[in-house]
Amino acid sequence: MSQAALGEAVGVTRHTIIAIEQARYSPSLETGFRIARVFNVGLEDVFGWEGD
Amino acid sequence: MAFRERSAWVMGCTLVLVGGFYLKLVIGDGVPPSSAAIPFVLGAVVLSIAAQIVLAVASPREASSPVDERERVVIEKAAHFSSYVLATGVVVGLGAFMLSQDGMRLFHIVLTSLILGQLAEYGAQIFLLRSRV
Repeated sequence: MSQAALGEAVGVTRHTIIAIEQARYSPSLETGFRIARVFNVGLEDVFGWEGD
Repeated sequence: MAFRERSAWVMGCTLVLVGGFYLKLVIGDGVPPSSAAIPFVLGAVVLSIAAQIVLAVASPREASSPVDERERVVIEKAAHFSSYVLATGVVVGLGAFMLSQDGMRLFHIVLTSLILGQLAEYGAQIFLLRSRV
C-alpha cells in the first residue's frame, strides 16, 4: 500500500504518513486506530512506545 | 514538498514582494502612506489570490483536501509564534508614540509589525512542517 493510499484511507496527507513513519509526528489516538484498522491488526502491532 | 509548505513559500514571497514595495514607496521614496496603502492592500490581495489559483491548478487534489491533524498543529503553533512578533511590534510602536507623539511613526511600526508577523507565521509553518511536531 502506498503512503498516499494509506493517508487517504485514514484521512491525513501523504506527508503526514511520512512524518509518522519517520517518527517526526505522533498521530492522534483516532488516527492510530484507523491505521491499525486498515492493516487489520492491533494498535500495538503498528505503534510502540520506548518510554522517556 | 507538501502543498501547505508550497503555499507558505508562495504567500511569504508574495508578502516580501508587496510589503517590500510598500516600504520602499513610503520609507524610501517618501510617498504618503494614504497613497501607498491602497496599492499595497490591492497588490497583496490580487497576488495572493493569483498565487493560490496557480497552486490549486498545479495540485488540485491537495488543494481541495482539508487540513489534516498534523497541519492543524503546525498552523496553530506558527500562529502562536507570529502573535509574539506582532505583539512586540505593537508594544514598540506604542512606546515610540508615547515618546515622540508621532502618529505616522506608530502607523509605520504597526504595519511593518503586521508584515513581519505574517512572514514569521509562514516561516514557522515551513520550519515546523519539516520538523518533529
